[in-house]
Amino acid sequence: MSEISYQTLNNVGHIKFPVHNGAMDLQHCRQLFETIQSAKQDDSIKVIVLWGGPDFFCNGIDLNAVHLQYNSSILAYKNLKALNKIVHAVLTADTKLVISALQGSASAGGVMLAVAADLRYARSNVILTPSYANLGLCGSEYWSILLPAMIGYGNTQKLLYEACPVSPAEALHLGLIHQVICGEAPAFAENITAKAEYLASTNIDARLAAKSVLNQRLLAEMDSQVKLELEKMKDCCNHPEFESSRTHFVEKNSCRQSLFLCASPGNNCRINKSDCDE
Amino acid sequence: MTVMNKQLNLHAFKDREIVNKLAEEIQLISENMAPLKIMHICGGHENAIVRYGVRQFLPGHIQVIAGPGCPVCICPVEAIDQAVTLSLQPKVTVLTFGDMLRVPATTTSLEKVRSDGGSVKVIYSPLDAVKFANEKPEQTFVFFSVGFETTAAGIAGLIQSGVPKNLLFLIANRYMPPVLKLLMEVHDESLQGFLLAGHATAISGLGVYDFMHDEFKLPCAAAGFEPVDILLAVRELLKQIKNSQHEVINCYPRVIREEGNLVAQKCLNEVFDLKPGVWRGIDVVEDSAYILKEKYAFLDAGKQLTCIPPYPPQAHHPSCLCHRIMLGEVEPQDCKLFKKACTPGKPFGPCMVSPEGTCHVRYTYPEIKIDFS
Ligand code: SF4
Ligand code: SF4
Repeated sequence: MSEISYQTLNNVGHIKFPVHNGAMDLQHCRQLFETIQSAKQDDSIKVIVLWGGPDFFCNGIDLNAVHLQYNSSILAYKNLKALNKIVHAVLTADTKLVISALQGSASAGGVMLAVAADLRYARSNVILTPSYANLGLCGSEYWSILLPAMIGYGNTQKLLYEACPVSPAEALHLGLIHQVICGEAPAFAENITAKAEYLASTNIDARLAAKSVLNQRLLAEMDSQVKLELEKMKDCCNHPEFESSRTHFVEKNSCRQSLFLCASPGNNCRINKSDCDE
Repeated sequence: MTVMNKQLNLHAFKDREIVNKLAEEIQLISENMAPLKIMHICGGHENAIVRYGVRQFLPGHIQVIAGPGCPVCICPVEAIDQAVTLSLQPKVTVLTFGDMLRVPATTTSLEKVRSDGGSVKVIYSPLDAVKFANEKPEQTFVFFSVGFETTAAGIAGLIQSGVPKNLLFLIANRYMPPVLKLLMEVHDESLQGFLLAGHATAISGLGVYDFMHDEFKLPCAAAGFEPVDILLAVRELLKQIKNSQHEVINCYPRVIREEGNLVAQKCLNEVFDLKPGVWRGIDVVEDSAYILKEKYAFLDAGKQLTCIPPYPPQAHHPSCLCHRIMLGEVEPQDCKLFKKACTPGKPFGPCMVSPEGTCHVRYTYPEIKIDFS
């Protein structure tokens, strides 16, 4: 059974992708891309909600699958390009408003997928970990154009270089998310659905017009910028640091975050709560 | 006047005047074009390009880079390990083409194992294999076959014509078109066209590359091996790129027919299935490995003899960049072993062994400026 689903109700398209551990392999990426593409073409909806899964929103490419591959570098690269395509599809959804509804945490490419949406709401347990560097990667998924525009150059530096987990309060403060919503999962879902339906039915064309003006510069520059990201990523995928970080991740499945840098030791960490000494 | 591609005088394909004329046309066509990369997928092309200094006739922003086109280089290390294991078995002799002898495998090479007592013989044609087998019926011979469509067709023909009972086959032949799909998945943002291998395309025909047009919208040109052939194909690709066209075209009509060699294709289809197969260090490529059909299982050395080595395969020395060179991501000069620890006399990776391997070619003909006249 497909893990990726699409349902529409009251002018809103709901896309759920509860993949195991939030890890998107090539197949998942292709399916999600196609789902988003068809939602973009669905005239019956005005708003798309990306729900991720109940435990994780999305944790980027599937490092376990990558690790088992004959040539891990190639699969990693293919996988991240497939994820790039999804983010591109979200960024170019010019006739819909896209909402990320983070029920669970996100990391690496999953963070970028979440922030590519126009509006981003998270439950209060959600941690965002832009952990590319911890995996020996410089990152892609349009981070280099999205993050500086969204949270500023300095904050992007901190986020990417330190690659520390970001608490919901901090994410809110930075502008990575727009609202932290307390309460259990069903209440969160209800709240987001109501918001999405309201937006879809009230002056949606004005909102979309604002979106097109706001995003114009970003859209113009994104292709050349992602080329740069990919060039660097190709080298990273072939670098021994990626291999050793991946081995560490896959075999020990524990945190490579230095406690010295960690923003929230032991506190609801998505990486591996039980492995944290704090 | 445009240089026509139906020259009958073979000498003309090295003619300096025609080369100059093509170079001028290429210059003109590409004048306002953004920098671009064309990949060839044939060791023979790399050899000719470097030997004849073809790159010096291209403008700086038009790059022709080498892809996975050397059959010796892409032969999976697993297959060589199997050949090594077979050569050490009593009453078994491995027969192969000379280039394969010195290719480093996981722990040794066929050349080294031969000096350590393994039974390995070099042959020059598949018919030699039959001759050896007929001469020594008490010995089992295993023909270790590598190569693309052309070699595979030869083997298929041999098998169909019937071979001695004591001749088995270890088939590591690969079929080219699917690797283009892989290259496109990895390089779609950086490649603008492909030069197709002249010989392999002469067998397969051009139609099997239609997916490049349908799916990837990238032009391809099948090219011959003389400087004029290559420049002419580059010129045609540039025209297409400039006009946003993406046809698969034949720039080697004196050898390639549109439909390919139908007899060879029939033969290949009757003897082989295509399965996913490893291209050394690169990846497992769907539908790219020639595998003997079930009805020929009795000829399959992998099924009839024990040939799995007692160690896991290792495609490359940790510092060797062969796989990335074959993917067109880096150049031999980027490898810190190139010309230092790694030389044709002491190759660390497969690309330094065969005269079609990129490292070997670059080692042999370094930065020369050739005067064609
Ligand atoms: S496991 Fe501990 S140290 Fe690592 S990121 Fe989580 S909280 Fe920080
Ligand atoms: S120079 Fe030698 S070690 Fe380096 S990539 Fe070429 S064959 Fe491999």
